Amino acid sequence: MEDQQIVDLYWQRDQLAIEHTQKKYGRYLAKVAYHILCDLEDCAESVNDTYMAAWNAMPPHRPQSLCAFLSKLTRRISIDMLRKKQSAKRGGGEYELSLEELNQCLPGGHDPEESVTGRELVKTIEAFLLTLPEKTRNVFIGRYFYMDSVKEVARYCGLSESNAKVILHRARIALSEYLKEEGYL
Amino acid sequence: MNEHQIHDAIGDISEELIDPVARLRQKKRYPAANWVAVAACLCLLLSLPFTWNTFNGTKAESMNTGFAPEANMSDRFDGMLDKTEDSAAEVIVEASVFRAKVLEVDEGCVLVEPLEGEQERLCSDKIYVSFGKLAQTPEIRVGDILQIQYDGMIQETYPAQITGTYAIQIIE
Repeated sequence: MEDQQIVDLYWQRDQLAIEHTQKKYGRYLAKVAYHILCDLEDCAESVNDTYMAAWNAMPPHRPQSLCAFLSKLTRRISIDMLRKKQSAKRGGGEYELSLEELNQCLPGGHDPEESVTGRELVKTIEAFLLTLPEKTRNVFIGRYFYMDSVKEVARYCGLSESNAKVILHRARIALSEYLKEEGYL
Repeated sequence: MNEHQIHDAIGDISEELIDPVARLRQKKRYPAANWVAVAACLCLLLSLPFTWNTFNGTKAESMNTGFAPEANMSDRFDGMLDKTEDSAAEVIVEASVFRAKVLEVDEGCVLVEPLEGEQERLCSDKIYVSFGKLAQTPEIRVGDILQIQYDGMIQETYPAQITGTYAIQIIE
């Protein structure tokens, strides 16, 4: 089934949408989640949460690329899950809770300004990515959005591993300079 | 600003930027091992017309001869054997004559010693030659030199034995 048809099913509130999403992107999303979580159970949970998040987001959202949209959801959910897991490992909720409480006292904690800065940062990074050549951009997104290994990124971008490493190194330097120019660093 | 913020911001970039990479990641992979399998399948497919032609040729031949295809294979095999036997027999008929000296005479058979230079001597220096089935046989005595014509088959016992005798002539 085409992506647009699946999106239409979401908009019609038809539960078949989830079934078709699972059929078409289940494995794909599981791989995205696995790269972050490295645990099959968590990975399955993350993918299920992705379906739920997609169901809640559509409507009103109508993604241009369903695959990219679902990837974003899985990535976000998996990272949240990983952070919770890591905080639980560090000795339970109280320590983390106290850290969060103290964090509110720090300048630039959870204030609206920070979220504005966050959105601006996203735009800045998008602008930076658009300055890059297509191949470099793909390598960068493959590595830092999908968190694929350098070897994998090199394979699907048609590069040697060492070439991909060099591209990533130069891209990081370029991003650092770009962020300095924009006043973030 | 820390690395978490940058990382989170990268996670929120627009779908238009992510989509080309998503497509790249979705592309099917064909590792070397798979290519070998594909090449093997191609070879098989390419050889199919030849196999088909051979099979059809066999089938057509069987139709012409009026045999069923199943029977035809064995018939062809038998025919091949027959041909082999025929041609072998032709060779043997020419070669299956030898001269030998009579050592003993029994009822229906003689024990002979192939003369020097005869190929049969390589098999055995003494051979029983039976002639009971022959319509006419000369009166054979010990010491006679015989010319024996046979079917080419020698049983490798000792003394060796020739049962398919066609003719016996006394030379000396």
